[in-house]
Amino acid sequence: MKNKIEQLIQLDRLELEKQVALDPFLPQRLRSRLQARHQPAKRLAWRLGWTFAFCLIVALLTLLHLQWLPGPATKPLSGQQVVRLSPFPEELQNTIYRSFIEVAKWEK
Amino acid sequence: MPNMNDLVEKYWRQIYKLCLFYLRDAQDAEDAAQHVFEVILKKQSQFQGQSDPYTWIYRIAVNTALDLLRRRKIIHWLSLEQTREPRTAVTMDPALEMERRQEEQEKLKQLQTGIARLSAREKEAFYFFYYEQLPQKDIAVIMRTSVSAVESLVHKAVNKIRTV
Repeated sequence: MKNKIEQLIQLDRLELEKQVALDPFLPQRLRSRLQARHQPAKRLAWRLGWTFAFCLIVALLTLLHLQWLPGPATKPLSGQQVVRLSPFPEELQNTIYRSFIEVAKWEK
Repeated sequence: MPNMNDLVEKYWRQIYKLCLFYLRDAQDAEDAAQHVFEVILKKQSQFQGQSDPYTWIYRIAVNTALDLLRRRKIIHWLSLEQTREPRTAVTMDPALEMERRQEEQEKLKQLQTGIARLSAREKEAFYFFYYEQLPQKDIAVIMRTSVSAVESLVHKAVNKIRTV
């Protein structure tokens, strides 16, 4: 009895294998279906990424324009604290400022 | 973990066969296989690499197939249709005798009815033991259970099928 059932199971297994082998284009189809499902998400991610990068650049430029433009380093008055907004060191700021003055002189 | 193309290339056969075993319909099995790959790709980062990738992939495939089977049953119940007869994965071979073929198909139908009555765990153990012909040790790893439990599940499954 058990042998009969096992034979039947073997038969069913072979039929399944046959059905799997019947469709040689299945992996190709699966791949293209998966790609089609994944492409819109990828495109959206790229767009979001670029938008974020663009916004970041604009924000950085705005910050630079408003606060971080190198100007002459001022000496603090007694008791006054200087809040440094510029990312450049004091020497570099002075050098840049001096070069601006030199250019202005040369232009005159 | 390999990329999508490699995954499909390597595992499509096993996954499709498993889905075909559970759903007994080529189109449903193809849809299920696609869904399995989508889940694998989505959960790729959760794979910790402690076990073989195939045990992890089989787990996902079994869960997805069971989920689809459950959904199909609910849809059939809601639509008040009669449950679809499990289709035999048989292609007509003209060389064989018609009578013998019909008898064979009848027996296969009986077997599939018996398989449909198995519990989820029994069906899983039964499939891996007879259809994938995996050793009980590997089945135990896939099913996260002991070897003796696998043995008992397979035994119970065969007994249940015999009573049909």
